This record gives sequence, C-alpha cells and structure tokens, in this order.
Amino acid sequence: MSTAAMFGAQPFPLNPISTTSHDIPLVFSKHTCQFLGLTWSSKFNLSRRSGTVVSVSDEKMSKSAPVLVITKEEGLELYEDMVLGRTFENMCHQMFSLRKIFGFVHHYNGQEAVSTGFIKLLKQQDSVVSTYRDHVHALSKGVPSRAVMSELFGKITGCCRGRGGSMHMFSRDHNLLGGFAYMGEGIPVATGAAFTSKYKRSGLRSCCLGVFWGWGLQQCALL
Amino acid sequence: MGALRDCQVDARQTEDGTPLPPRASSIIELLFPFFFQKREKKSRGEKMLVVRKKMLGQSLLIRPAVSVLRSYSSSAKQMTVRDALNSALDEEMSADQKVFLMGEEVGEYQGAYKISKGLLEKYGPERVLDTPITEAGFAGIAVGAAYHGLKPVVEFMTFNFSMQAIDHIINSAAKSNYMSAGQMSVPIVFRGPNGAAAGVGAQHSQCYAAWYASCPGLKVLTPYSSEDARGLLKAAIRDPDPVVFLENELLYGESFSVSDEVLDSSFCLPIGKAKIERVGRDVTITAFSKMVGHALKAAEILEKDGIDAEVINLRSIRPLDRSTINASVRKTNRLITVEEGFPQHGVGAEICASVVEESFAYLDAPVERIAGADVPMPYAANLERLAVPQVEDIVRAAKRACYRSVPLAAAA
Repeated sequence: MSTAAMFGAQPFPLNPISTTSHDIPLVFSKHTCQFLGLTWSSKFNLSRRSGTVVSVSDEKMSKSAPVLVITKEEGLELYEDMVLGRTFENMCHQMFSLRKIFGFVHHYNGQEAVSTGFIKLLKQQDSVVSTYRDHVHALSKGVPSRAVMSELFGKITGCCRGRGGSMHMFSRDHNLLGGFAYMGEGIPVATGAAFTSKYKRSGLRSCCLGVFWGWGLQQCALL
Repeated sequence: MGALRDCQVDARQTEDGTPLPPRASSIIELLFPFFFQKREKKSRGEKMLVVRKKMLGQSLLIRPAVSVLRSYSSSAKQMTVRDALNSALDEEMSADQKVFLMGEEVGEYQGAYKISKGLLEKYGPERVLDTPITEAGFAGIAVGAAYHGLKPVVEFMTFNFSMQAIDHIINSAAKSNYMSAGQMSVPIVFRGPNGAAAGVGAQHSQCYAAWYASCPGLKVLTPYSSEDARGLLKAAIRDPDPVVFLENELLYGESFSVSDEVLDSSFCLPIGKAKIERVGRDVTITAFSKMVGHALKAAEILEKDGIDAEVINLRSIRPLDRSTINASVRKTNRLITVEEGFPQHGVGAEICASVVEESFAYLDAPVERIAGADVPMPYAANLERLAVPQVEDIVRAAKRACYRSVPLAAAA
C-alpha cells in the first residue's frame, strides 16, 4: 500500500477500511498531476463503495483489495472543515436576518465540498483568489473564523480591519488574495499571481487557485 | 599715502580678486619681504592637510567620475521625451529584477511609439512581454503579479484603451491596499500616451487625468519635459503604490535640455511636487503635460503686454501640490488653470476649489478655467484645433483675469 501525505506532493495514503461483499474498488485512469501530487492508476472502472472513499495508487493497486484516497483522520479533518463552513454560513444568515451584518452577504451553504476539496489540497504558500462569495474560501485557506466573522461585523479585529467586508477578504499570511466583487474579476489576477511563480522560477512549488462560476466566464477576460 | 599700519586693511585686489600683499614700509622690507611677512602658525594637522591636498592634486585619476561630471554641470544635453522614458525604463529594469514591462507591441515592434526600443533585446522575452489585445486580461495579470511583489510596468497603447481595463486599475489595484488594511501592496505602473493626438478622432483623444485623479489609492503623474519624464517614471516604478503615468504622444519627439544630474541613474523626482517653470508676479497659470508648453508660450506673449505670468508645471495631479499652487496665488492674486480634458469635473475644477477653500481672500479676480471643448473630439483638423486649448485662449484668459480688455503698450 503506498503512503502519501494528504497535503503534500505525494500520493494520498491508502489504508484499508472494512469492506462488505458488494464493494468494488473505484479506479481512475492514470494521470500524474505534478501540482496536486496525485498519481492515479491506469484503469478506469466505475464502482461504488458505500460509506468509504476510494482511490488508487499506481503500483500497489489490486482489484480485490479496496484502496482509499484519504485516511480516516484526514477525512475527519475535511469533514470538520465542511461543517465549519456550513455552520459559519448558517450563522451569517442568522446575523444578516437580525441586521447585525449589513450590505452584501453571499452565502456558501451547500458548496462547502468544493471549497474544502480544492483548497485543502493546497499548501500554505499557494494562493487563492476568490469572488464575492468568499467566506468559506477564507476559512478553508486557514484564516481564523473569528477574524472572518469580525470582518463581517466591520470590526477592527477583522482580517481586513473592517475595511474590506464580506466581499473583500484578504490575508497576506494565508495567501488569500481577495475577495473580488465583479464577475470574473479575479481570473486575470489569479493568472498574474501564477505568472509570478513562472517569473521567479519557483515553478512547481506554488500554484494559484482562481475560483469563479458560470457567469464569470462571460467576462471573457481570459478567453 | 603712507605705509599701512597693521590695523589698516589694504583693500586693493588684483583683477582676479586675490588680495595684494601689504605694502612695504621700508626698503629692507622691500628687499627682504620674507622676514617681515606675518605667517600664521599652522598646526600639524593643517600642515598634513596641505600635503595631502597636494598629493591628491597630483593623482587626479582617483577622483570619482561623478564629481568630474558635476564640475561640468553647466553643459546641457538635448534629450527627447522618448529617449528619456526609454532610458528610465532601461535603468530601472537593470537595477531591479522584479521590474518587467508588458503591453501591446512593446517587444518585437520596439513599442508602439518606440518607447521600449531595445529593451526586448537587452532583457529578453521574460521581462518584456508582448501581450494579446486584452487590456482587461493583462492589466489583471499585472495586478496579480504585483500582489506577489513583482513590479509590472503596464503599457496601454493609449489611455483610451485603459477603459477596457479600468476595473483592474481602480478595483484591483487602487483599492486593494485599503480593502486589505495594508496587507496587499500593489507596486504597479500603468503608463501610456494620454489626451489628444493629431486627427485620431473622438475615441482616441480623451484626457483621463481627471478620471484617475479622483480615485483614492492611485497616484497620477503627468510629465512635460524630458527631465519630468525621466524623474517621474523612475519615481513611479520605485513607488510601492499603483501609479497612473500619463504621457503625451505629441511630446514624445520634443527635445529638452537636460543637465547631467538628470542623466544620472539615481535621478528621481518627488511625487506630489509641482515645478514653477517661470516665476512671475501678476497671474498664476497652472498646466500639465502638453499644456505647459502652451502656457510658457502664452507667458512670453503676455510679457510683451506687461503681464508677468507665473507658470506652474503640476507634474503630479494626484497628489496635487496644493501648497505650491496656493502660495503662488497668494503672491499673484489671479489664477488660470489650463488642461486639455473636458471642463466639467476636471483638474481645473479641483484646483479652483482648493484655492477658494484656502486662499479665497487673496483672489482679486475669478479663477479662469481653460479646458478642452465640451464635445467629443472632432476629426476635421480645424474643428480639432478649436476643441483643444490654444496659446491665444490662455493669453485671453490671462488678460480677462487681469481686467484688461485692451493690451497695454509693450515695454521696451
């Protein structure tokens, strides 16, 4: 069984979990992504494994023994991140309804898996450029939830000392490059941040994740 | 005429100013002056200094080049604004690896107006980037790079095209430092020609000084001469905040004399300081960019009519040098603002408001605003000339401010 660090440049650790008779391992086609450090196997077979997450390692894949992407501890960590996001956004909604948070608030309830799934793969030095719907991105990137909530309340203890607000979360320490209000505005900025890696020849040691959704593509900044 | 006593000073001097030795008071003194000369007692240190100076005088090779240049600072060289910008970019790129240039046609084509001539050959395609025609895209990329500490210089072919990227200039660059409570510094320069060219029509002729100068978080610079171009571009590239650098296409080919101090690679002008191009007493004329030349010509014409105009080259629209402008108005009591852009909400409006707020009691006449016509720039040459301020407009405004309807007889 190959082992790997969850958040590093190596494949995920694979630990067996108790199987049931109808479980079939989930296998993906082989693809090596240097940035994410994932290595997937050469075959692609759809299968299901109820209650457990499976993936493959390259050489050690065997059809009979199911293999996993993440350990139980890592799974709990990811789950905690998603629950934090959900709880946080629920509280935001409550506070907004009570008019304690004002202006624009864009909730991320229901999408936590996207934020957790992408951002938890990154390292501290990697950057994230987000949109106006950026609370949970900030949380997943590691900005303390107290700082994010204070920012929404416009307090000096917020991550931007009350100057940014809901849509403009910045954190130099966590390489969160904002919070942009316009549709698709962050796409060129994320490209520029990634360009810096190329310019400085830091190459594979850092990457930049730009988040946007459907309507942002219409801005056509990068098309 | 008698001999001078010790207490009397012989004030005679030779033609070149060196004092004459005291007159001899006897023949012996005349024949043997050495024994009678008063010699100052020099300390040992002073004697060593004399020896050292003699030694240095013989070894001129050690003298640093800069001091040799400075001793010849009276000789002025001619330099075009284009060469001034090119040399400033070249020097800043060689001094700091983080500085890079991007824009349309800046590389292979040597620059749309040849400002970046030779830079691609010298620094390579990694530092001089030809971009596709996507202002929004490459301005945003530059801002993202600036977030991570690089120092991009973004060239817009004209500032009219910056409207495509104005979201990134204002929202991503200008406001980020404030929105992030100082965490994000954006050391970016947006530069390019601004204002009217010759016959390029309405969509290529607008002046954006007033638009950008109204935005907190930006610095807006408007050079006129080669000295301004060099000093201000260097200051802009070194500045840790976003700078909008508004050049003028019609000034690129103009030559100005530059001193050796300007040619030094460490030359830099302060941002936020205006220059008084011509000192005067009767009326203050503020201008920036191409209009400074018009104002200086108008001042020459006014001088023949007995009006001594003070011309201020603003250099920096944001921050505006209010103290220099107000000090000048307090001296002359009359103000004319000249700009090429549209009159409403223009630079002149801001200067007028500043003077009214700070120096109202000193004004002897209403502030005159000379600006471009309140129409999109026409194409026909005669209409274009009418739409842009001319020297005659400035002269007439100065006379109105001085309450003169008829020109006085010219002084000799």
